[in-house]
Amino acid sequence: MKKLIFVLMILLSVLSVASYLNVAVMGEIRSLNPFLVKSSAERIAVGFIYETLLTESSGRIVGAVAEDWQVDFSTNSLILKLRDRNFHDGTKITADDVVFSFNYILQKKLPLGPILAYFTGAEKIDEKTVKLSFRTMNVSMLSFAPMAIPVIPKSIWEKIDKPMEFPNIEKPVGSGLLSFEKLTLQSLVLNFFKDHPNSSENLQGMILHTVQDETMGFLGLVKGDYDYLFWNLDPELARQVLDNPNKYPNVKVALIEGGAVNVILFNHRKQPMDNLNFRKAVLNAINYKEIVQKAYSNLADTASLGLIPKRASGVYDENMGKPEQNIPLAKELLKSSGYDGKKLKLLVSSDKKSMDMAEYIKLYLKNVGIEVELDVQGPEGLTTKLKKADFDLALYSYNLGHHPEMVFYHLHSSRGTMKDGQVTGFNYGGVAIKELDTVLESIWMAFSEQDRIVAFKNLQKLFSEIIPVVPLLVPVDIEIYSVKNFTGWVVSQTEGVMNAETFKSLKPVR
Amino acid sequence: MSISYLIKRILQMLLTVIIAVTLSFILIRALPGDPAERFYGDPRIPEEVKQEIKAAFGLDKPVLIQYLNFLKQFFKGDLGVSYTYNRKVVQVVLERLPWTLFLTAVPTILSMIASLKIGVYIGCKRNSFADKVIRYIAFALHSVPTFWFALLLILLFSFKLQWFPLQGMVAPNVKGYETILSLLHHAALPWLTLFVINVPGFAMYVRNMVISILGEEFIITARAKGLTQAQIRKKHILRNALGPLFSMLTLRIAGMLGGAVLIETIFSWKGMGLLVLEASRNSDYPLLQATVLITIVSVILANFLADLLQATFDPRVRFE
Repeated sequence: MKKLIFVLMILLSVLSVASYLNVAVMGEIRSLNPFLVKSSAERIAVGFIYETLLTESSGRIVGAVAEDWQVDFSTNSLILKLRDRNFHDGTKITADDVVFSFNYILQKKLPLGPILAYFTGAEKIDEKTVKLSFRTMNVSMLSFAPMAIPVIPKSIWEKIDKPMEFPNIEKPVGSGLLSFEKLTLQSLVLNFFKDHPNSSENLQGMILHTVQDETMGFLGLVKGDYDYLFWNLDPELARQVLDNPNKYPNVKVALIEGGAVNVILFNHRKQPMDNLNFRKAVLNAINYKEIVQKAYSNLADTASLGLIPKRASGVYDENMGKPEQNIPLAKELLKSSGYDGKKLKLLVSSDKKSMDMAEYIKLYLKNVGIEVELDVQGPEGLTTKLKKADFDLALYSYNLGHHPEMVFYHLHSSRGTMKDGQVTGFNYGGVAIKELDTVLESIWMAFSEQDRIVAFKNLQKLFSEIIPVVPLLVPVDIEIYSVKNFTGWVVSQTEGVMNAETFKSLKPVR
Repeated sequence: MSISYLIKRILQMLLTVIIAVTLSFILIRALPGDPAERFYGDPRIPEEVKQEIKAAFGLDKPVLIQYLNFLKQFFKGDLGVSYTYNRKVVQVVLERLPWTLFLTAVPTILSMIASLKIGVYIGCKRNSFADKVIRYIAFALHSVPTFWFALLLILLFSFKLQWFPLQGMVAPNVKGYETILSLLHHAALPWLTLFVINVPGFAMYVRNMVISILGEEFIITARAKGLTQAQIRKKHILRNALGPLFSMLTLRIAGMLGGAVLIETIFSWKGMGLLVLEASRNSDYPLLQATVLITIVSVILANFLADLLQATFDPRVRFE
């Protein structure tokens, strides 16, 4: 009898464990303080526990805790209408909670850079409406504030006097898809929050396991210890799985539209990079398909001539076309570019992918008559040189998949001026083209869906004409999951595998 | 041991700790990377906000002032708040230390016992067939890189045979006695790795010591008195070998408080080794300082303990 009870207990424990999705995350979960997130693992965990007022979906701004929002240009403010939602402890989310969440940052001077710089305060208009005020108003205020700041319960956090010394690991309460159950040194157990609209009916929760490196995560996935690896997989590992499906019968690879655009930056402050014909010559010299094939094992797409990646589907212009190699045209353009044959420096990161790409680019440019030498730098050295604008050409990447309006920071002239020998913004190449500034400013003020579409269409068209940077390729985001323990994975081309549909349809294999 | 010797020794230890702490304070801050950079590195942030963020981390003051503040807190027993854990570093370290001790102490003690047996045996049978075979195996194992051996064990026992978990310390959803079973299950492979890696070095050390003891006059006298080989081994060889061996064990355990970085990384064992690595990756100055301090203090104390043990086992050693 005792043996039978023991076997039943073991069976019950196995069954209860089986309804937890086991997800591996890279790095450590040390703190769940949503204002002090430091690692990608913490970002993932906090993203499941807490919610923001607005969020992003396929390049569109959509509601989360707020259902509706309006811009009041006269007062530089956003007015947001709240949904009927609960925190994990069952209490209702009120306007007081939202106002507290935002003002808490100012009161406690939490290190959330942009919001400290531009946000001036939140106030309650009525029980379901709040107003967020800013020093200035443009579309990036959305990504700083309502899309970035978590809504926290006032009743808990008003007692926290020193948030910088509050790890929030005892019982964090948010309103996100998953509620906190237990944190150990190596895993975080979360339960699906049944009041959440995207909650799963078949799963009890999710366990985030922290792992130290990709190989161990992959072995765990193949073995069935993990059901999903929460990071962008190495293309070579993905290629191994894709080419040997029989060796890994339970492992599936999902190729998702990437959001990062690899580009060649020109230092517009120098000659001949400030010359349009030179930039066009570079654009036409490169064999994009070969780079995609050789450096990325075909797990990348040639970038759009309009720069914006397909991932930002809400504003991506399908008709822009893609750059193609045209050597005679490149040579022709080079003749009228003022290039005197001097050796140019191509600044490149020391990682393998970048080095491979740089070697190919060097070869293509040499082919049309442009002499290039590589300036290989580690991550710190690369940033230092970019900040000092110490390069002629540079390999760089713009992450525009989620927030395409970030392009303003990379290309507007105001972000490329030099101060004390340093570039003041992300526009390391010092692009300063009047028409481009005008279009970027229109994006800055495009709050409505229609205005955004028009503004981005104009940008992509102008971009393809003036080539401030050469768009090279967009690496595919590679996600990997196992069907050994769960079925019903839904692969979305813009959201990836971890999307609301997957949570709703996943079922344990019993 | 005289009182004056003890006081002199304690003062020496204190001075060493202060010098080591000062040097580590300077060296840690000389490392590339800024702990608050990730919070204010965004070029969209105006200068005054950057300064506010730096001040929140206490990094706005000159290094000398930071050092004096650190010393003031240090003598009060407060090592500060971790930038990455957002809590007192002492709490973080105390949470990790038992895991490292659990991981390293068991295989170290077991490998010491095994090494003593093997070392004495082959030392007494110098140049015999058994001595040669064991020495060849020991040299082969000693030259195997730890990470490679650990990966081999993982691939065989965790991945192929699926007898043990790949990594981690305890399964997330276990309770009660299952926790202990799960812990032992997870610890098995790292223990085995450390055991196999430690034994050859220790065994060769013991062997060489035994050979040198065998040449001593008191062994010849013991033989002349008609003692059997077993009696000589037990009364003379083992007793004389224990002193240096205990000293070595003490130092080894002290070193282990710093953590077995490689083993902890491969098996994702969240002990002191991974903590040190993490703290240096994230430029978490207070945490790094605390882990360095613990290693320094434990090595100094272990040295002291090793000297005491040496004197206990060898009456010829005297402190003055």
